[in-house]
Amino acid sequence: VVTTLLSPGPATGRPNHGDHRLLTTLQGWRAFTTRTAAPAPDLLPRQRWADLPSPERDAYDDDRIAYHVRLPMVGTPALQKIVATAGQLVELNQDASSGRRGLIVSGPAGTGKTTAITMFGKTHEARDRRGHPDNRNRIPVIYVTVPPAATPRMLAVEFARFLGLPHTRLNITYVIEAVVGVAVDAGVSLVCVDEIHNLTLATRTGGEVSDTLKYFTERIPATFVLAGIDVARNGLFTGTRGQQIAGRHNLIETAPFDDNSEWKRLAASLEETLRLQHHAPGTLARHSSYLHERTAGMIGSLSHLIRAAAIRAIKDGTEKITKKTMQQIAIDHAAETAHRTRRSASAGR
Amino acid sequence: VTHPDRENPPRPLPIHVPPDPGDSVTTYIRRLARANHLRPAYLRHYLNRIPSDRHTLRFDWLAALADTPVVHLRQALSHPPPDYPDRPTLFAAIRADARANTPTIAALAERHGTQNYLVRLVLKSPNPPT
Repeated sequence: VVTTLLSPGPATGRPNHGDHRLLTTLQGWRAFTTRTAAPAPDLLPRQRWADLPSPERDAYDDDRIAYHVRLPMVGTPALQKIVATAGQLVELNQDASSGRRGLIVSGPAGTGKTTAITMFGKTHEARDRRGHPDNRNRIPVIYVTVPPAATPRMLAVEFARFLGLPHTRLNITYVIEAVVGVAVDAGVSLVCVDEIHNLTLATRTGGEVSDTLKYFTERIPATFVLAGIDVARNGLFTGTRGQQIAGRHNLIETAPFDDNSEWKRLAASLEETLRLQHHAPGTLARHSSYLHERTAGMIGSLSHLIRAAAIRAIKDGTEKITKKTMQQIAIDHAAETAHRTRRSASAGR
Repeated sequence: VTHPDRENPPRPLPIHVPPDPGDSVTTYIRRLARANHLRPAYLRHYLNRIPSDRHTLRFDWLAALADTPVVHLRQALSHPPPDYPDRPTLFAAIRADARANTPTIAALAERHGTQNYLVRLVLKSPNPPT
């Protein structure tokens, strides 16, 4: 399975909004779901590349930089499991009038939760569109995120904002009624709610947000797929509300990769997608332990490191990724901290 | 209370409603609102040029909500109102129209995208409330 990383795409919506780049708006979501992966640019023969005049060389480099920005990514076992389970739930729920089951994807940051649920949403939307090709009012998928310190109204507004419904000076009841009415009329069958770790059942407001979300699950005849960081540990399943959530959702946990043959295969598969003039095949697989050390086994950090290294290699003309190139790339703080801790621990031994 | 997103034109409403032949601005706003589960009065208020002014309509916003180019929507709707920047311009246009064509109050209101009582006020007083 080859998927595409989330990244800014070409402008297809209203240029003055930039909404086409936000997954949490209908225009952005549609741009994402209709975007096809750019074909991998063909590499020029070595001599022809060396003789390329400057303007053509720049254009050739720009094409490859754009390609590496959106580097195709190999599907991980976790992604495949999430897509398969969510697909099964959508099928089971399609005729259910109540008691629909949902899915919760939980795991540390950078383990591919958002990528997995958005990829499933994209697949589901494409399937639905094939069944209703001429219905422009059909909205098979809603994708929202729970805002930090959310209140029930803020959550309802997130749904309204995704759909493009005005909500200024509307009270929560009207916002919810408009959202539910449109969702039912537009045939929404999948609702993805990301960042549910922002929902804290320990507080009164958090509990009310959870109730609002539950109300949406009852009123919108769709499968709800929720994703968040370590939600079980953050108390999403505790108390009466938590038990209700636990009883209605399957849980899939994502985790960092171990430094094993699977990780090595992942690095090798990513390497196959590179389009660099002088890159020696097998380099990344050979350095898979170093990659694991740098990224702490996080797929998001790995993807960032390799894409950034590839772009640097094009820009500086080296046209290959080496361990030295990767050492020059800074990645996210969590992975860097884990890397430093491991290095100091091994130095102390 | 101000509209937080006053500066940007709104995004299209989720349910697209093409204008019917014979739709006026009022009937079209009503159908568009109902299809999107909004109250027509709320949507009309949302389209006010400034929040406190019920007498001028942002036609470009209506076109944005309808996901239709302004030119097409103007052609499709019967008597689309001119897009006045402020109330004095609207009042001057109503007075000029009344002098030149002597239409009915209702026709003036429809043509200029406002309400009958405001047209009466504009024609009665040289200094209607602004």
